[in-house]
Amino acid sequence: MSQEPRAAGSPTPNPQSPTPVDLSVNVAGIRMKNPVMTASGTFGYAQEFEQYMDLNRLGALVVKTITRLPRPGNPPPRIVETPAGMLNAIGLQNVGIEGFIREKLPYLRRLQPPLIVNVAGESVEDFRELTKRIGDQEGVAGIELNVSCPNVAGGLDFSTDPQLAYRVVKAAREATPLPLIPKLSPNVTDIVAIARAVAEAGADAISLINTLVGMAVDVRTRRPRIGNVTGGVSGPAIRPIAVRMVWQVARAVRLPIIGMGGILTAEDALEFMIAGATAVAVGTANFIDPEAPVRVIEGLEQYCTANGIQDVRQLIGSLEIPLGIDE
Amino acid sequence: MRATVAFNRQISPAYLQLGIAAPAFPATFRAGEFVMIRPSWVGDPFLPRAFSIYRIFTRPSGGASSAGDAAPVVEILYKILGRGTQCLSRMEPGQEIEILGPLGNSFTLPDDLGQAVLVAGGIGVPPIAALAAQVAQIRNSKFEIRNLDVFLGGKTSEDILCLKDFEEAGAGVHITTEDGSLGTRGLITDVLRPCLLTPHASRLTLYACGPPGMLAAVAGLAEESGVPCQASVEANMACGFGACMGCAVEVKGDGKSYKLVCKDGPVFDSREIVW
Ligand SMILES: Cc1cc2nc3c(=O)[nH]c(=O)nc-3n(C[C@H](O)[C@H](O)[C@H](O)COP(=O)(O)O)c2cc1C
Ligand code: FES
Repeated sequence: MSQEPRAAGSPTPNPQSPTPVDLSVNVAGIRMKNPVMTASGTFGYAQEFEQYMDLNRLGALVVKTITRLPRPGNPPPRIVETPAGMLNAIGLQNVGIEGFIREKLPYLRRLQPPLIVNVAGESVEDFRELTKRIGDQEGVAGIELNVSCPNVAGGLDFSTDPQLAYRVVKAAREATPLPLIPKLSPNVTDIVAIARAVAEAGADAISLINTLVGMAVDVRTRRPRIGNVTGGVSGPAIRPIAVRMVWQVARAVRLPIIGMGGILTAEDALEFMIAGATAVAVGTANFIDPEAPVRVIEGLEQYCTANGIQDVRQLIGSLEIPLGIDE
Repeated sequence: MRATVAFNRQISPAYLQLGIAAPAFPATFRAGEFVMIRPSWVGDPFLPRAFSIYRIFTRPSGGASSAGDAAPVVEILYKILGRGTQCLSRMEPGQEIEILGPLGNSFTLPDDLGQAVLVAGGIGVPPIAALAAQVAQIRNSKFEIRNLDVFLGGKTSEDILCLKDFEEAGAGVHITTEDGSLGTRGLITDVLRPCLLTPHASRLTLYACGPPGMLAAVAGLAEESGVPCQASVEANMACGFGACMGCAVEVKGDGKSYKLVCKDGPVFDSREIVW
């Protein structure tokens, strides 16, 4: 719990370094003082973390998915540890959009990092309505469209079919001028086809990836280890898959990418940026170390300083594939 | 917060006691509060584990002491049940460890409490021992609390822990084991039932911690006899501070509704929970 004196929000200058590193990035018009944000559903509504870290150090804030009506969530057990990660089926427990606007937004608005609100609908019309309502609020910098939550019954998954994904983003596009960031599911054969569809529908950036559908069995009781039977796998276990998808999409679509999946350290974040991500999100790591995002930010700065990089943007998509390798 | 292992020793064939010297940890806590613990490296097991706080003591910083000597030492008791606790059992004094807390709510003692009846099953005992110590402390100042009784249950005598603590707290101790190796043979509720159904069971509050089956049975008894019961419940946890929403417990209400064990609990009024 080592807290710096609150140099609220000002980019941390490095006294040792003669030329301070510029960590700022711009994701579809959302100006971030560093590329590190929080992954939806792993950071609550930020207030849960205020006693553990200086929230104003974050590049941007992404909060837990909001739906039209409040949702109680799934029956327990909702989570279980898996190798190098965890399996969850929370079931989008949330207070609903009106509850969010009333109870959570006033606090979030007072924080400095740009706020990205994540929404999920059960239909194309839901997405349109949610986007409109959130877009009309003051203090919202962008909207992440969760078209990919694997944990809710009733066909909430709009991101395994390019046409459905297109329709959702199109409807949201018509409802708001704010930056729109669809968050895609890795549970598909061809991620590029989905990414192209949402780009064509007017997306401003793409978040990659949501959790991978998984399952764990208790062999003593022969029961599934989580109440929902299947859930989403997150954590370092999924990182290679996430990096691969970021790389594939970055080459195919000209939109900024927010990369996530198992980021614990700055080195993990760098993998994503070199593969093509403009920004990154820290997810499951927040649970095991509520200061994880700050450590990632500090590590990024150290890496840049050590490698003579003055602008973190130089790293984006800087992957070098040796000549003669057949991709 | 960063901390170091002060000691990690076996207290019975199946149970261990871990002391963690944590300079930034408060020196006091309330019975029922818990901590999240993990080794200082990230790896396997991946998630931190939740443990009830058993005791906190501050080592007197004597003569040739280094700075860390005056740090509060947070004590927990645990049983090797899975990979997390197995890994914990191999940790040695001086090793770095991460601890987060104190977390969660705590048991509460109503002002007009006449009689406290504490119930612990197996490794559910640490918060109950902490509560007994807390009751003993205020019993001196508040004469109100006439009686302190503790019911301890386990499969065998090996599962009965902290007897000395309860003696020191001046509690009447009632032991049951399933195999009869210590105390009465049977289940905790067998011996608890007659005590709750006596006429002087007014201004009595039950405090319970233990495996889910036991808690449900105790909650049932409490309901039957009209006695209030505070139960400390368990759930799989990832964060311990309300961020993941993974530790849900179903509570009574319109339709399905859940509370978070780490934030709204771990202590609940037993009537609130869907057992
Ligand atoms: C407990 C938990 C809850 C999550 N809830 C949401 C959610 O509400 N909305 C969403 O878009 N993603 C949600 N996610 C997915 C994360 O935002 C992220 O995409 C994924 O976990 C991969 O990143 P990580 O490995 O760093 O956690 C959740 C993940 C976890 C572990
Ligand atoms: S353990 Fe994460 S919310 Fe309770």
